[in-house]
Amino acid sequence: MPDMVNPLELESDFIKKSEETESRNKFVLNKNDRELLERPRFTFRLHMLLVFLLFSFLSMAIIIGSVIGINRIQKKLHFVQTSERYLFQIEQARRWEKNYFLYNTNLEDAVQSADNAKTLLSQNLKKVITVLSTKETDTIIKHLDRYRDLLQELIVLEKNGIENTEKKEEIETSLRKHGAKMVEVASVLAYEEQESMNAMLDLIQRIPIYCLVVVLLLRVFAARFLTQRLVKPLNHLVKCTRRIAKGDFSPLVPMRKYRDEFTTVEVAINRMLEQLKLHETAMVESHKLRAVGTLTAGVAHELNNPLNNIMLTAHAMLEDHKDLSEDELLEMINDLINEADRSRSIVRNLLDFARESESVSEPLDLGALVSETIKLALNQVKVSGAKIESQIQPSLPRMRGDKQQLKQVFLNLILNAVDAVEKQGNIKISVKKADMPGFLSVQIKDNGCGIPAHILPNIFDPFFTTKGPGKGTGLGLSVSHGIITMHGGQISIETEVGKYTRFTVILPSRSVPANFNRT
Amino acid sequence: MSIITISAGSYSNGRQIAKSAAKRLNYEYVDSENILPLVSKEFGVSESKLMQTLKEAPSGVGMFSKTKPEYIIFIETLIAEYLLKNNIVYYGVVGLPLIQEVSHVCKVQIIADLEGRIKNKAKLDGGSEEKARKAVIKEDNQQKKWSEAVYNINTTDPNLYDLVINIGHIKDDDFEHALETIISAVEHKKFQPMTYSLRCMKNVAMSCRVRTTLADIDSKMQVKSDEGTVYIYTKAVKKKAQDKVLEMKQKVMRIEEVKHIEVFIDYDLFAKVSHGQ
Amino acid sequence: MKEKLEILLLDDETIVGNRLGPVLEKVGYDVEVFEDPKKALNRINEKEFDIVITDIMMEDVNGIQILEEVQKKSEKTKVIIITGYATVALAREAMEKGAFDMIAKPFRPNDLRSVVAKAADSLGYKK
Repeated sequence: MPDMVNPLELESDFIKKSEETESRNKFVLNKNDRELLERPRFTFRLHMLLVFLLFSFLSMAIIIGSVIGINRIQKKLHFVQTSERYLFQIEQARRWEKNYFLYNTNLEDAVQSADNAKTLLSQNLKKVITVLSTKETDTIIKHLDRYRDLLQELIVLEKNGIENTEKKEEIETSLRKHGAKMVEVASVLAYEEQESMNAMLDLIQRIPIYCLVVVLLLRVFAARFLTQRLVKPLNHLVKCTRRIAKGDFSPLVPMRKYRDEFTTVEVAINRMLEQLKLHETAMVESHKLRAVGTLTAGVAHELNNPLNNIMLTAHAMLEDHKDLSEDELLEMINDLINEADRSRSIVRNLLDFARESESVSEPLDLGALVSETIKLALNQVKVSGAKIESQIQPSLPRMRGDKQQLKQVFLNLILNAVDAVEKQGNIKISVKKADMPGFLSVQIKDNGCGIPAHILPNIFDPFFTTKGPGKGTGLGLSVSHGIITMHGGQISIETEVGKYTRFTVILPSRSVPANFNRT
Repeated sequence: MSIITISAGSYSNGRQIAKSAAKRLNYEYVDSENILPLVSKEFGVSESKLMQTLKEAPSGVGMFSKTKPEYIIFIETLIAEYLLKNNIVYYGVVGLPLIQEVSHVCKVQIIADLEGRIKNKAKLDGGSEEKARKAVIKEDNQQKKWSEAVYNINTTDPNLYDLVINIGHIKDDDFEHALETIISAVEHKKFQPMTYSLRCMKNVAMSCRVRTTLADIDSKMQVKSDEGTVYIYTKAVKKKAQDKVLEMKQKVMRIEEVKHIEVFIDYDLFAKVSHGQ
Repeated sequence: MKEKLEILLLDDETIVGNRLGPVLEKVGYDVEVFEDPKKALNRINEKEFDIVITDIMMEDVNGIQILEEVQKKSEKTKVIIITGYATVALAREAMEKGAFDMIAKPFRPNDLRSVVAKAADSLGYKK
């Protein structure tokens, strides 16, 4: 069926594609991910697999070893039996030989036994050579051969009926010598083999105990190692989450030389951090717009003054243009232009602040920044009827920071102060060097209602607000806190209910030398 | 010298109080009963349909839903234009949020004990108290739904009013007391009309008139006006925006006293719709 | 009764005084223009004006304070508020404290003229 598409193929296609896009994403996304992902792969799973293989291999080795050992013992046992049979045959031969000399019995049986011994020996020659040396083996064979030859000689002598006692006696001595030797060697052979078998049995008994100890040690080691591998990155991640909770959204950096399952988690956390950062900027932005919303009321009213001036002037010109002198007309036209300019600057001030902007760190004059912010809030302050005083220490060291964000923090604090004071309230703002060297401080103090102790611990929490529904989003102080922390500063509060509230923001002035202003 | 608006929960004798107050102050009394015939006459909509609009909130579905929001605009317009005159007691909820920013309108809310209202209803109908209880609660819910759907307000929110009077169990002396309170409040200087607040009222009436004129094009638009300058905030598909603005301007320019029109169009929603959201 | 109606005009915007002074003088009123509310207050204490026109939002002294001072000095004087910060709350506060009228900025010269004429009317001056 040509129309059918193999679903597997499709799937693999899909996977390939998604992998492609993913890899492209990775490539495009950021270098943090790359740093994490470009390490050699050594997964935890592989690690586990290796340990498992090691143990399997070990147990296989033990099993094979014992099989081989048992097999060898079996062979040895067999050989021992053979040696014993050999010894028995020799001894049999000797017994026949002895009987012959004592009772003059048949000597054929002795020869038969010697032959049997010889067959046994030649059958197991190889094995014998391994147990005894070649030379000794040769000796055995030699002795056996000689013994048999002597027996043969004796039989021949017997058949011929010659009573050569001398010869017989000679043969008898020789027989005794070789026989004794043979028995000796045979028993040595049996004994040696028995001994070796015993040693092997002993070993086989002990090996499992050794193995047990080794495996136990290995297991402890492997367990420790694996736990380390698990616990260390987990601890690392826990540390990271603590850091993130404090508002530090800088990405994770590789901790080890290889990547594993935790890398996926790390990459995921980095993604999350990116999102968090994005969200925070969005939050800062939306919060800024809210501040703008608050300000527009003031600005709209403030605009009414120049607009009124323009309207009155234009109408005056309309009514009297025929009677006015050229100088008067010129004055009025200039008024029109100036008031239009004034309107424009009022609007521009607000728009400058409201404009979306990239977060950039730049050298800043904190004093100028604060006075610009005060200007921005001035209408709002005027409308509320409060008074605002500022004290800015001249030639302060410069600092680095995001102008827009810092403006937002101070604007937020000022607007809060405006909300807190009644009419005829007082807001005092000071910018000076902080007591801590290398830091600048901005204080915003109002003589308003203060903050009750029971809500004090919550004021920096997101969505905490004391304002009525529809008035505040409750993001103000938490956002401010976030911004100041990001700038390496601190924000603190002193308050007494019904008397005052003082926010102190300290910011580091490092990185730009103090005499920067004078040069 | 000013305007009093009175609104009340059902069966709390709000209407009687409003009528008595008008009589005592020698003010003109107006409510939906006076306004609806005028609306019907001007816009050719039957009174029963208009009455229905005031009871049932436009649901957004069904055949009638499309026409109902327009009826509310018609009623609002005639009320706002009626309130251009001074010395009026207006009983009702329609249009109240529109005149929130007019300083010479004294907004009064009358609340009464639920049990008292139930007794009141039972006495009026001659039915059982149980039946009356159900009816009152049903009507309360209906009212609540209506004001939420039409104005997105909760009529029981005291922030909406200058004066909230609890007449308790609705006895004769409660009634008298409420009346005294309203009359003394209105005599207060702060509710006196002035050039600024009269202008505000005029602006409201003008905005209503513009919305009425454009109700067949868009019944959800927002309109603000100031001294003959009209600002219209509406939504449109980008392609048709130009035509829509032109059509609106032509229609609005025919209204007396309109000098200048600004139309602001929000495309956002339609951009989303066209992307199949 | 005096020949001409005497008006004190106070606004910290120079242009307002510059333009409204002639606007009112042209229709036959006697106008004293002030930019500094403190000087205006001194003048109010010296002389009883028929009409005081004042801005609300000014440095140091609020227009409401001017209104209160004028009311203290002479109940007869009509106070007209001109403000760019018109709100319901302000309107009600002004009326409560005895203002004659209030108009919101921006306004046309004729708007003020008609308000002043109304005030003059209520003072018994007929044109």
